[in-house]
Amino acid sequence: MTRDEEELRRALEARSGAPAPEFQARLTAALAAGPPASRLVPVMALVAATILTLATVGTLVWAGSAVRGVRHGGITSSARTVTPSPMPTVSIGQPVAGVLTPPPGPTPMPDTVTLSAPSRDVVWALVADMYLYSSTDGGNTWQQRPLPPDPPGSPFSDVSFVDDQNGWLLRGGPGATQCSFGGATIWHTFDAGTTWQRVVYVDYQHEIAQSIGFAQCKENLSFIDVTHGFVDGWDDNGRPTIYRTADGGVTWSARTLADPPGFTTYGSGDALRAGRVKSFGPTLLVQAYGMQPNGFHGYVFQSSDGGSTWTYLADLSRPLDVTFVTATRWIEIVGHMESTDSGRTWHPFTSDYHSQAAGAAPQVVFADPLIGYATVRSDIQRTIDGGAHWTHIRTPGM
Amino acid sequence: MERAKAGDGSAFGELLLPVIDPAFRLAMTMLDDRQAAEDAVQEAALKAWRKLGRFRSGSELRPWFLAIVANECRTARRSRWWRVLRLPDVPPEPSVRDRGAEHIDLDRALDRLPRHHLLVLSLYYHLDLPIEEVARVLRCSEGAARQRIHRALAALRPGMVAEVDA
Repeated sequence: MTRDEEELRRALEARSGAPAPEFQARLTAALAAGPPASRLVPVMALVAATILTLATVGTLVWAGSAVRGVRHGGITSSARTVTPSPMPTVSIGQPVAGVLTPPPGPTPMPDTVTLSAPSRDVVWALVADMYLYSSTDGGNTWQQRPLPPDPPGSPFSDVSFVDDQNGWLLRGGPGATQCSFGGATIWHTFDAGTTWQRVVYVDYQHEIAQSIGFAQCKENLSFIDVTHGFVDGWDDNGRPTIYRTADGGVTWSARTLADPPGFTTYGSGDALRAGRVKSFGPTLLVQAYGMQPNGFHGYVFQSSDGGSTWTYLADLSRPLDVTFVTATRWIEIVGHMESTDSGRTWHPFTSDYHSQAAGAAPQVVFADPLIGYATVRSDIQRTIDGGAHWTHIRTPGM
Repeated sequence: MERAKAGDGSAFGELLLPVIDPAFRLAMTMLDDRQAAEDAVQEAALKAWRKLGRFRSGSELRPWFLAIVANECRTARRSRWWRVLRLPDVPPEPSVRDRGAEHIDLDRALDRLPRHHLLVLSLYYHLDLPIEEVARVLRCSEGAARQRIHRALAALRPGMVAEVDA
C-alpha cells in the first residue's frame, strides 16, 4: 500500500466511528419486537381493488370529468414513446379504487412523516412514505386514507393536498447515479383517496410530450390549488428544474433555476436542489440549496407570474433552511431566527420548539400565518401562534 | 438462519451482530453523520429481514447486508431535501477532524466526492474487504471493481499513487 493509500485510509477512518452501544441495543430491541410487516399490499386487497375498479370505472370516469371539469388526456393522444413496450397496468387518467392497508403496528423509528397543511384545520400526513392519514381538526384525530394500488407497497416521495378532498402523491425514482435521470408517477384524488387517477407516468421508455421529463430525480410536489402545481427536478451535475402545471397535473412545462449570485453549478454534486413551492397570493417562493467548495449555500427564488419565470430573491447561507410563514415573514425554526423582510435581515425570535433531530432539518409547514406543524423525527408538533409555542399532537400511525 | 427466516427476531439479531460494526462504519463514511448512519443501518436491517427469504443459504451475509446498507445510504442522500440538509450550527466531531492542515485537503475532497466513489473507497480501504467481496457488494466483476477503485482514486485526487490489490 502506498503512502497516498495509507493517507486515504486514515482519512476514511476519521470520517467513521463505531456504533454506540445504545444504538446496538435499540436495533436489537427493534428486531426482537417482531417480524417487520411486508410492505406489500395483501393479495386479497389487490384483487378486491381490481374487481372494484372494473366495476366502477365507468362511473368514476364520468365523475372525474364532470365534477372537476379537468380533462385527463389519454396517453395515446400525446404519447412520444421511444420504444414500444407494455404500458403500466393502470393507464394515465384511468380512475382506480384506493387501497387501505393498515400499518402492521407502531411505525418504528427512523421512519418519517411528510406533511401537507392546506388550511388551519385540515392536515395530511404521509407516514413512513407508505401510509396516508388526514385530519380535519388540526391533528387531534387522524383517519387513515386509501392509497393508489399500483405498484403495491412502493413508497411515495411527497404529498400535497389543497383541501380535505383534493390531493396529489408523487412517487419519484428509481434514480440513476447522480440522479442524471429518474422516473416519476403522480396520482391525483378528488375524494380523499377513495379513488385515484394517475396523471403522470414517466420512465425510461415512457416520456410523454408536455409532461415531466425523464431527466433528473423528482422529489418535491406542491399544489397551490386544484389546478396549479409544481414538481422539482434535480441532479448532481445540472441546474434544478421547476415543472409547473395549470390543469391539475395533466400537462407540465419546465423552467430551470439559474445560478444565483455567488453560486456556480460545477457538477459532481456542486448543484442546487429546489424544495417545495409555496404560494402567497400572486407571489410564489421556493428554496434551493447546494454545495460549493466552501460549503452549503441556500437561496430563495421568487416568481410573480405563476412560475413561468423565477428570479433570485435572497441568500440563505445563514440561516440555511427556512420556512415561509408569509411572503415576508420567514423563520428558521431550529435556530430560532426570524426575518420579516423577505430574508434581507435576520433576528432571534422566541420559540419553545426544540428539535431532537440531531442535525437533520425538520419539515415545517404553515397553513396560515399562525397555524403550523413541524416534525421532530416521527412526532408532530403544532403551533397556533406563528411558531412561538409548540405542542405535541397525536402522531398518526403511532 | 432457518429460525431467522421463520421470523425469529432474536435469531436474526444474532445473525446480524457481526456485520453491524462494518455496516455502521460504511454508513458513517458515506453519510458523515452519526444519526443518519444509525437510521440507515436500522432501516437496512429491517429491509434485510423482510428480504431474508430471498437470501441464498450458503452465501455470505456480510456483502449481502453491506449492499443493502449502501443502497440505503444512497437513498438517504437522495431523500427529501429537508431531511438531508445539514443545519449550519452542527459542529464536526473535533476528535476526528482536528488532524492538521495537511489532511484538510483530503477531508474536503472526500466531502465532495460523489457517493458512488466514496462507497467503493470505503469498502476497499476502510473496511478492508478483499476485491472479490467488494465486487459482490457492488454486484459487478472483480475487474470492474478494480476499475471503479481506480476511477474513484482519480476523482479524489488526480495523480494519486495506488497499488490496488497488487
